[in-house]
This record gives sequence, C-alpha cells and structure tokens, in this order.
Amino acid sequence: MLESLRGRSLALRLSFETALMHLLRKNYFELLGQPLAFRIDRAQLERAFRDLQATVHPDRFVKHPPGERRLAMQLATMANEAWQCLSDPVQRAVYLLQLRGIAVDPTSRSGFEPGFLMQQMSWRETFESIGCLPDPRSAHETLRQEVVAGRDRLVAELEQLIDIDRLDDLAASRVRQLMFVERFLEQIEAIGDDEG
Amino acid sequence: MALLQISEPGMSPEPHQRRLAIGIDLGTTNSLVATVRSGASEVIEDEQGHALLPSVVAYDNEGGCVVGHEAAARSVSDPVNTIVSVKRFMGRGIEDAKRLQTPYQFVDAPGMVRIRTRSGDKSPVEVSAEILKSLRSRAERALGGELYGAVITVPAYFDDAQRQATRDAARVAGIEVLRLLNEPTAAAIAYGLDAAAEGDVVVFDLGGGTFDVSVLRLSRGVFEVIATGGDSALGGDDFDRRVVEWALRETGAAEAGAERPIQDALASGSISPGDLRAMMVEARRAKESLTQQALTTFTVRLSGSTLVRLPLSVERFDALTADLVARSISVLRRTLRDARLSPGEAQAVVLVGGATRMPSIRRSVAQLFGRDPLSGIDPDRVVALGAAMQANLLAGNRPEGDDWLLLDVIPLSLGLETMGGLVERIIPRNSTLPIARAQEFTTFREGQTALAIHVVQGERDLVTDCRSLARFELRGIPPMSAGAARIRVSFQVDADGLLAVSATELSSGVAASITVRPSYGLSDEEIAQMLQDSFAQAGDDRRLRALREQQVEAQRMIEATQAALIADGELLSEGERSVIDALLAKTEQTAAGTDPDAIRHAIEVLALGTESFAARRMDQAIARALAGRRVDEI
Repeated sequence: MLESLRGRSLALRLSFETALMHLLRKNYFELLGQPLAFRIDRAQLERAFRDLQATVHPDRFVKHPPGERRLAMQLATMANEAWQCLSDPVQRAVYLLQLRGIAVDPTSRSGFEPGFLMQQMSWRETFESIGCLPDPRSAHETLRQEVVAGRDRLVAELEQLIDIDRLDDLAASRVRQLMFVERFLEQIEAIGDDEG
Repeated sequence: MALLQISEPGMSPEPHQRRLAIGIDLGTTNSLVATVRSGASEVIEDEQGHALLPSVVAYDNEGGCVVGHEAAARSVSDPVNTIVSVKRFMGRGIEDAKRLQTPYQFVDAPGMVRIRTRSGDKSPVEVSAEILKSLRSRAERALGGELYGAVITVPAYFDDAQRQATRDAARVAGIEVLRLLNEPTAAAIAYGLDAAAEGDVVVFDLGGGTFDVSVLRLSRGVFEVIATGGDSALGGDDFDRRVVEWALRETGAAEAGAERPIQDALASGSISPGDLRAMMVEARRAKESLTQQALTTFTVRLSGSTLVRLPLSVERFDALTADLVARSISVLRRTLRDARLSPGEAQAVVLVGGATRMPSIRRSVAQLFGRDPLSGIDPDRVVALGAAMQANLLAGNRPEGDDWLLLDVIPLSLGLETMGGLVERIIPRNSTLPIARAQEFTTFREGQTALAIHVVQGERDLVTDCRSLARFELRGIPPMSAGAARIRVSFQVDADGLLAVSATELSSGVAASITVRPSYGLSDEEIAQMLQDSFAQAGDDRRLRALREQQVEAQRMIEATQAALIADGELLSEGERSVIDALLAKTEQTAAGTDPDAIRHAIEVLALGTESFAARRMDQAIARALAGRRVDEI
C-alpha cells in the first residue's frame, strides 16, 4: 500500500514543484505587493518586506520536513533579493526596465549629454582640489550635498520618465548617469570615512 | 510539528505542549545553559549550584574524561591533557593553532588540527562535544524530560568552517540545533531590546578568547545585524597573558626585552608547563581583583618551590594592557563606520563577556559613546539568557504577535579563486541571510574538460590572504574552445550562515554540487565515528531510542497535518484530500508498530504527500500577510 501511495504522492510532488514555481515566478514587485512603478513608498516597502520575512523565514519552519524548509529558504532568499533590489533606486530602475524588455548596459557611455559630462568634470575637479582648500572639511561636505542633490534630481526625473512618460530608452540613459553619480558619491563618502 | 503551523493570533501551545528548549553559550572560558521557565529566562545550575561550566576537558588514562570544574582543577597538574579554551581551535588548522601560545602538542590532520592527549588525538569538535554533553545532561536533569532542541551561540565573526564545527559538535553531543545565533544578538534579546521601538544597538562583547562588535538595527520586531566586526584572537586571556609576561620579566625568568617571554621561559626550562598554567590562573585572579580594588599581589609558588610575589597596581595593569584596549576600540570604531553610524546615534550600548568588567574597558567605551553602556545583566550570563529566549521562540512556545524575527547577515565575504590567485567576490559581507548568488565563469584552455573550484572566505583580494573553505571539481565538460564553456557557480547560504555550492556547465548541463565540508572541517565519516563512539560509551539502547524518536516525530507530523486540514482543507480537491487522509491513516498504523525505519519511511511519504498543500498554504499566508498590511494603512 505504501508503495502505491508513494507513486501517487510523486504526482502530488510535481504539483508541489508547480506551486513553488508559481511562488518563485512572481516578480519582486508582486512578491512584496507593490505597484509596478519606479516611484516607491519606502516605508511601506520596508513594512511589506518585514511582513513577508516574518511569514516565510526558515526560523518559522524549524523541524518541518525538508521540502518545506527548502521552500522557506528559497522564499526568504527571494524576499531578501527583492528588498535589496527594490530599495535601491539604480537596481529598481534596471529591474523595472528589464521587465519592460529594456536592458541597461552599465558600460555604455552613449546618451551622456554634454551638460551632464561638464558637471561631472567640474565635480571631479573640485573633489581633487579639496585638499588644497583652506577648509577641506566644509568643502567636502558642500560637494557631497551638491552631488546628493544631483542624484535626487536624477531619481525624480526617472519617476517622470518611467512611470508617467514611459520613455524607456531615455530612462535607460538616465539610469546609467545615476550609476555614474552613485559611484562618485561612494568615493566622496569613503574619503569622509577615512577622515572620521 | 510538520505542515505550516500558522496559528491564530493570540493562540499559544497549551502548557502541557510546551517544548523543552534550551539556550547554550558555548564560550571560550566558560559555558552556560539557560531555559525559559514561567515566562522568565534563567540559567540552569549544576547539582553543586554552579552556573558557569568552565570550558575545560581533562582526559585520563582510561580513555575517559572529566569536564568543567573538576577538569579545571587538573589544568595546573596536567596541562598537556587538560584542554582549555578549545573554542579557539574550532575549524582551525595547525598553523593557526600553533600561533596561539599554548602548552599543547598539536597534530596535523587532514581537516582540523588535533590535540594529542594521553587518551588519543582529539579534534576540537570532540572536545567541544564533551562540554555540550555535560550541559545537555545538566539541562535534562533539571527539566525532567527530553529536549526539543537548542539554540547555540557563536561569535558573529565566526566563518563557515567555525560554524560548521560548532554544529558538528552539537551533533556528536546528540543535541538538535534549532539555530546558531550570534552572541551579540543573543545579548540584545536578553536586554529586551526587542521591546524597544526602533534604533541601533551596539554590542561590545569581550569574552575569554574572542572579541565581537555588532551593530543591530531593531524595528518592528525584526532584529537586523547591519554590521559585524571583531578579532577572533583577542580576549580576556590575552590580558592574563600580559600579566604573566610581566611577571616572567620581573622575576628574571625571561629577559627584560624578550618579545615572546612565555616561549623563552618554557624553552630555557626556567618554568614548566604546570608553572605556566598556575601563573595564568593567578593572573586571572589578579585581573579580576583589580576590577574592585586599586592594588593586588601576584602570588604563585613555582614547581621548584620558588615563591613569586609581585605587587600589581591597576595603573600598571592598565599600562601593560593599554594596546589591547586600544585594539578593541579601533575595531569598534571601524565597525561603527561600516554601519555608517556615529557613536552619538546609537540607541544603546550593551556590554557582554566577563572581560568587560575591567574598568579600563568600561571607561574607554563610555568615552567613545558619551554615555554609560548597559550592564544590568551579568555579562557572563547575558548571552545564554538571550539564547534561551530565542530557543523558546523557535520551539513555538510564544504566541504569535508576541514574537520577533531575527534577520542575520553573513560576517565575511564569500568568493572563488580565479586566474592569478585572485578572489572573485560572489557574496559580499553583511548581506542579509539567507542569500543565493550565481556567477558565470569560463574555461581558459582549448578543450578543457574539468574545472577546479576553490571557495574562499574573507575580505582580501588575494586567495592566500583568505580562508580556504572548500575545493571541488566540475568534471565531464565537453571539449570546447577556450572561453566557450559557460560555467555557472551558485552559492546558497542558509539562515545559520552555512554554505552550499553548486556548479553547472550550461550548454551540456553537467553539474557538481557540495554542501561545504570546509577544508578545516570533518568528514561525515569522522562525525559518524564520533557519534558511534559516544553511543558506545553511553551504552544507550539505540534501537529503542530511535523507535521512541520516530514515534514522537510521527505524532507531531500527524497532529500538524490534521490541524492544517482543519484550517485550510478547502485548498485541496477531493482526490488530493483522500490521498492525504490515506497517508495519515497509514502513518498512524505504522507508528503503532515497533519498526523505526518503517515509521521514518511513513513520515517521509506523508511529508512528500503534503508538500504541495504546504506550498499553497504558504502562498495564502503571504497574500494574507501583505493584504493585512494594506488594510491596516487605509
């Protein structure tokens, strides 16, 4: 009897895989119950992430059968990935554009307008001359705030381009600019750390 | 407990269903076991009323051993066969062990270092298992029943090899591990910081042999470890050693400018290994008395019956150890920087570990943060108390809504060796667990049919500067031109921080995978042998025990399945329902018999048959979790 049951439960097992695939096939927005948009309510996203983890985390499945533990681990892994992706503007934009069939090539420099490049050069020059200025600490902070403001402008622009105008190709080039600015900001903040 | 147990809010298991869960602080110097009784976490004492079990194992001639106070008493007369601070050797090779200045004879062995004792060469896992067994029987005696499981704490800085070794030790000791928990996190739980609304908590843990700093972010019942730092070779023992080195120089047993006075004195024969242990014990006493008074006398009678008496002031002690304190504070600063947290922003600072009783440490920490750290709970007990609370939670003894979820991070980056001995980082440190990452590689030679995969852990760019975790080979790649093969290597790290790696060649589908048995770990055969040895010694009736375990497991599974059917039976079609009903009946019938293997088989089949039901329930639970949130907000 056990053997024949086993045969039937293998059929059931297939439907387990199907159910699992259904869960894992959700995109990050669906998984976290968020509208499919670049603009995000960060506090709400964070609450959704924590509620999801509170439901699927392997700690909730201690001593459950191995299949369930595996399922819990896969879902908790995916929840972490979803949170990391959606909480970061660059990753969120790349992911959303990818869902729309647009690949963002981070190495491409095409579509960088002269104005953007000029601004980068001017920031870079300021950054490199900070050591020679009379008050390097406040010059550093001024530059940092300026770059943060520049980043925030790009993020706001992306909300308009992706969610409202749906100009995906233009958005892709803005995302590359945003990557560029984020990397520069990291450099600035790393220097700040060393001084602190 | 089997199927998704989604209990209704406010429902908790009936008192008679409470499961006996314990928290274990497996410390370098002392170990403790605690449990939650009548809602309060308390340390379980042994029959003599001791809470702390010295983490000491002494081996005798008959192949047996003693653990704890009795063993510690032998550390002076028989230092070579008395293993203290074994935690420092967990998951470590002989080179690491030799650097640590100990009286032991180390034996190089494939995997972890072995320590030569009169009853044979012992792996650190076996030695730790003896400590765990002692704690387990203490707990079973005090609680009067079979243990459901344990939460065991590890330093946040422990790498994969050290975590594996700790889990292996529990396995050998016959303890089911519910979760490995970072020590600082356990301390935060003990202070009830989960009840605090929001904020960042810094945990400063200076134990006997390890130092950890963690920055935890608490919000809405979730503990997130946002940064960890530490030094796995800094602890209270180092302060004792400074005192011994000072004493050796003062007495002329070592030269005034000697860089390694302990080795010199041992090598020249001016002190014996027994003298060294006696001096270490006295150094610890002197250090402890200097937390209360400004002056003490370092007094030891050496084996040559020379009496050493040296006055030691707290100022002198602080000067001898100033660089150790500075080292800990610089690690603290670095960790705060990793967390992007300025000292003023920390909501609370928690002190853990007996060594944080030292006034110089408290002063330096208070100075950095501009506030006094929390120290209301005994710093020796706080970790075990928190672990017991987490064990109680994982055992399902707390009602839903009155619980918390702990999200951990991986302390050190994981990567692969690539051309030129460079590390390609796959999972960056401080990623929230569990996590999975995959990366594609290719072959570099014409017609290459195999690829060696070397997994390392650490932050440095060169493989030689990182810890080697595992090596394995992907074979049977069809011959292709260089660069044509596409090899996808996937890492999966579970909630305990343990790693599994798999590799697949994408065009041919050739696959290889391993659950990482680290280079410094033990093979499954070795663990099986240790288990067998311990069974043989305990003289257990294995079959009877196995039968009982399987029957309990079957009962759990049956009850959980029935509860799930009552709650969400409508998710099943009639046909699916009848299969599960039949499996339930079969499991009940088998469990009434006496064949443990048959019961295990029946449980497995029942588990398999209910998996898709479980997945559907999970889907529904997720939908409810997110929907509930939205309703909340309107």
